[in-house]
Amino acid sequence: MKVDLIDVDALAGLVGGERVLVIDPYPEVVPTAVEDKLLYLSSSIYGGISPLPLFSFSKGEARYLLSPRLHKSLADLMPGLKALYIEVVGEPQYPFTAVALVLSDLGINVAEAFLREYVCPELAALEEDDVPLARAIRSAVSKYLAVAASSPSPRSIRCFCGLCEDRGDRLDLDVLALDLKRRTAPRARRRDGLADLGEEDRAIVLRVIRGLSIPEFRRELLDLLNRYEV
Amino acid sequence: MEHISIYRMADAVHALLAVDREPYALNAFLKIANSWVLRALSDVPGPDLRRRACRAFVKLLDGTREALEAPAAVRAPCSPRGAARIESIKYSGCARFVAEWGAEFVYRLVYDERLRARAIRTAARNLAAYVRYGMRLEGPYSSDWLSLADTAQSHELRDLVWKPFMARVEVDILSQCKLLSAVAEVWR
Repeated sequence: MKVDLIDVDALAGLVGGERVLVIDPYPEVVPTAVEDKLLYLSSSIYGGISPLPLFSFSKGEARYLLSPRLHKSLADLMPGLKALYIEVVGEPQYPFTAVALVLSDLGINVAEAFLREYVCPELAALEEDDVPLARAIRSAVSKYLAVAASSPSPRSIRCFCGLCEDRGDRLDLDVLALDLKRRTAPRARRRDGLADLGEEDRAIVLRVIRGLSIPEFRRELLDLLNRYEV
Repeated sequence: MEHISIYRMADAVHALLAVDREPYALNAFLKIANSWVLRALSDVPGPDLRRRACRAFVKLLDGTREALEAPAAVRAPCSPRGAARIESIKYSGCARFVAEWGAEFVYRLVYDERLRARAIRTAARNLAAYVRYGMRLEGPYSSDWLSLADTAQSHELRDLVWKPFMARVEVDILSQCKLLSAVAEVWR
């Protein structure tokens, strides 16, 4: 593992390279509590270093880079901000899970889309709930900043992926969000990818979407899909 | 209840939730909490002030949700340069405009000028994005705002039903209230 301190302003150069896949694990809207904490940790008493490591590794043909979106927004608020740039040398083991674990150490709930797309497939292959790469990143970061390992175990992410028995109370939040959306009379046009579809196809898609918002229907559909291993 | 702006109530609740971590939050709360806010808080029973604040907020949100829906047309009350000079906590005019489109709490952008500058940039980007999907931006300052939106939206906007402030409310208030488990029963 190679660790460098770089200026966040110089990030553009990293992203520009060829075949770099930028992955964004951060939630779309960062909670103020998290942002305040990050700002505090990257304040001058801690040497102006962002506690969020920038992380890069190669897998297959491509090089992956953790999105610098949050670093840039922090640098907006703190000019001269530096970031730890961690490059994994050699074949990374469960890199996406490691990223998710380290970020939750810092109190960041990674975006669900990131979990679903990158972490869940890794967890399905991970046999023991142990990710050495996460420990290695933690120890690299804690040379500069004190980062306590407080993240949930891979087991709780497993539950998110539907890979465990206990699914917890996740559903409640979904219901709340749905409720919030359903009770509105939309005025501005909602942006959806449906504009290209013909009238008839769009009607079908919308009907399915409406159906999915009914919990019973959704459960039945998922059961069906699972039963036929779709 | 109609006498409180949902923006004032959001500020009050967020400041209460932030009292432990943000040095200026308590000071801000004392300025934000006018008699209508205090009345809304005292109308909710219970021993825990934060839970009561959550319930009071959701009650108000239920009644004033239209205020947070994206309108078909919006009038910019000030220029971005005017917005940079916001200095007092007010829930009308320029301060409210920057809060609703920059997705930031009014008291935070009054107390921290870095947050204000960022909220102004975010507001410009959001306005440009909503305009692209059919909203009209009116008033003599509309071109100032649209020309400020030079950088591309870093993240795709998913939901244009609400003003951007709603995302702030969801992430910083509703989810926190959910943790305090004060909201669930009110919303069902």
